[in-house]
Amino acid sequence: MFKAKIDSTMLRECIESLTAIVDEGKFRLTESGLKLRAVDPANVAMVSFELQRDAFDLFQFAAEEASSEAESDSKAELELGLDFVKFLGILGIGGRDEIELELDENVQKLYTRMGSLAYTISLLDPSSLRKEPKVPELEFPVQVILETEVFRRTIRAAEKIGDHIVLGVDGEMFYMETEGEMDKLRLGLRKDQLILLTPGTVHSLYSLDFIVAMSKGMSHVENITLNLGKDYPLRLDFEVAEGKGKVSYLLAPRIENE
Amino acid sequence: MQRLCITCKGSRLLCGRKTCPLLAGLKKRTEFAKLAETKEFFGPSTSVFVGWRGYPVVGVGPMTILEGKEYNAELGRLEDPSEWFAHGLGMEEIVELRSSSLRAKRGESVTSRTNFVSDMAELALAKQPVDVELTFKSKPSFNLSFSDVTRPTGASVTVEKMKVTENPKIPKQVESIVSDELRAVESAKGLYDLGLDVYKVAEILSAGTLGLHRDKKMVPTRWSITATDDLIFKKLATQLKEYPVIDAYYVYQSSYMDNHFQILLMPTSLEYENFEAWFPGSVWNDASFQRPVIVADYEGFKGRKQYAEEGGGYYAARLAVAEALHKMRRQAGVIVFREIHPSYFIPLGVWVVRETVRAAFGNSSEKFETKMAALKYIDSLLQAKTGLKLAIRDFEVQSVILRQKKLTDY
Repeated sequence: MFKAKIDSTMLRECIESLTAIVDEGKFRLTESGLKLRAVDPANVAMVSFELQRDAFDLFQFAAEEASSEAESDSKAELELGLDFVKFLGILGIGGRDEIELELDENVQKLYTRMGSLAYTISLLDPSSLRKEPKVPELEFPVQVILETEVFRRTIRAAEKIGDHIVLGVDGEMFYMETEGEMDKLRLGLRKDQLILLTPGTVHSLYSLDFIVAMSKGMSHVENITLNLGKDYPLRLDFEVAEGKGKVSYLLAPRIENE
Repeated sequence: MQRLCITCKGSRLLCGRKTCPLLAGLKKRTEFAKLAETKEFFGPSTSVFVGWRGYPVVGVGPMTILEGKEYNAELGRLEDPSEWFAHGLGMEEIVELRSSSLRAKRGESVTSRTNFVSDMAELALAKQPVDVELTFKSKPSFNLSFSDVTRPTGASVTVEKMKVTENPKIPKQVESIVSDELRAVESAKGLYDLGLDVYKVAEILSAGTLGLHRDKKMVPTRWSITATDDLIFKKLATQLKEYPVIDAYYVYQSSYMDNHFQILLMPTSLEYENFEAWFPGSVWNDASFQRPVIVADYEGFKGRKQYAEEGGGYYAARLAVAEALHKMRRQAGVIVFREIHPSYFIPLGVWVVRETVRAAFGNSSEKFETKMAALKYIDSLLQAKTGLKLAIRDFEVQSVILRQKKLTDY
């Protein structure tokens, strides 16, 4: 049994952070909230997502024991397969009201209600969805925290110029650099212009397609944390739902031309 | 045939001779000489052609041939590139074959619903060539025309009147799909599923027979070919994405008229990259250039939104690959390496790409456990064929797929 109420704008922001990487996926519902981990079809980008139960105005969850004999005690968790793109569309129609959610496990439907609008969503069969990926073990030598808006603005400009972007730290300076056939763009921020910076010398090249998508998934976020290495994946973390939710993106780098 | 022929096309005698040997030979063999004096024609129409210049008012009409009746048995060959490929016809033979074609045209708006246009639609739907009677406005002019997308055409003439003199045989199932109120995409896939090849589907699309009634319009032949490649691919791709990923790395290859293909399948979800390496002296690379020019286009799992810069060849190869994967019931990451060597110096149409890639999957493949081993194999073939002029590295530096690391690498 799962029943909940949540601010629909807040939920929309959460779902937007997922559609940056995947179109569909499965939530794991537990006593403590909602979780998801999913990787894009090309195995290049991953999203890990967590929403605590206190982000909800109402959160009722009970693993059903009577439903079947065999799996009765392993059911402290429910899986909910959802087409996120479709779900975003529904949240778009519903406006800014609070949204009520109720799961019917037996028929695999999610009932939603926003004000006077009721919408029944057919869930995706969790077994038809990709398996939850393993998170690679990574150690990041450098961390940078900056205002999301600065990052997003730079990405918007970079997108017009080239296909990839370098993220790096040189001493006490964080930089983003992109080079196209014609133009070149570089953003350099000193330590005092950032919220936090671990000094070091690292840089990696990433596909802008993925970074652009990610930057769309964090439009309402104030700060983001970048974890970087040398020719290494990027981990980009931020909070959603007024600090009651966490999103973490992982992105594999591109091999640079010598 | 010389390189000059492509610019000259028999009209300027750039080779310095007094007459064009190509056309002279042709005129002797075909009925052209006789026809050049008359303003009437009776014979089979093998297909229809819709021009693109002046869109939306374009030259449209039936394609006919200048051969006498006794060549009827061979008519099919004139229009069917898979036959040309199967018989291993060379560049000259294809040009010769096609130069006996006569394109009869008349200016029509693509949305026009005149009797001429509806007659044309019937010709396109017909299973076999249909006899027509044409009255010309002027005498036919002979001018070979080549394109990177469409098949070469020979003479052309402005037509005043057309009379279809026999009942076109239109297969029942084709008739039923076309008369259903379906969007063009759905009907085209329906026709393809009936077993019609993309060439025929494109022709039917070009004749303006597909689409919802109010939207029906003719599509220039040039556009209809790539449009058909694209929409059939998209339909196949939604199925491919549900199939399991292939189990290892495979390299397929085939060559035709000095176009050499190597196709790499990789055990990842569907993505596609197409390389064309034009050698100095091939169609689109001047002989004075010292190095091959490599162009590349890519699309990920979600497909592409913008037209590929490479043009029709990208789409033709992509369809052929999708057909093969569909047969295997597998999805894969795909890289097509195409080398175009100097003796392919006349563009004959994208069918060359489509048929050669199709044929590659009929040949046996090499299987590899690692990407490195597969690339090394491709490299050895490249270098052997091109005398060290081209190596896998030249492609790697431009590749979206090969330069992107995976999270599973960590």
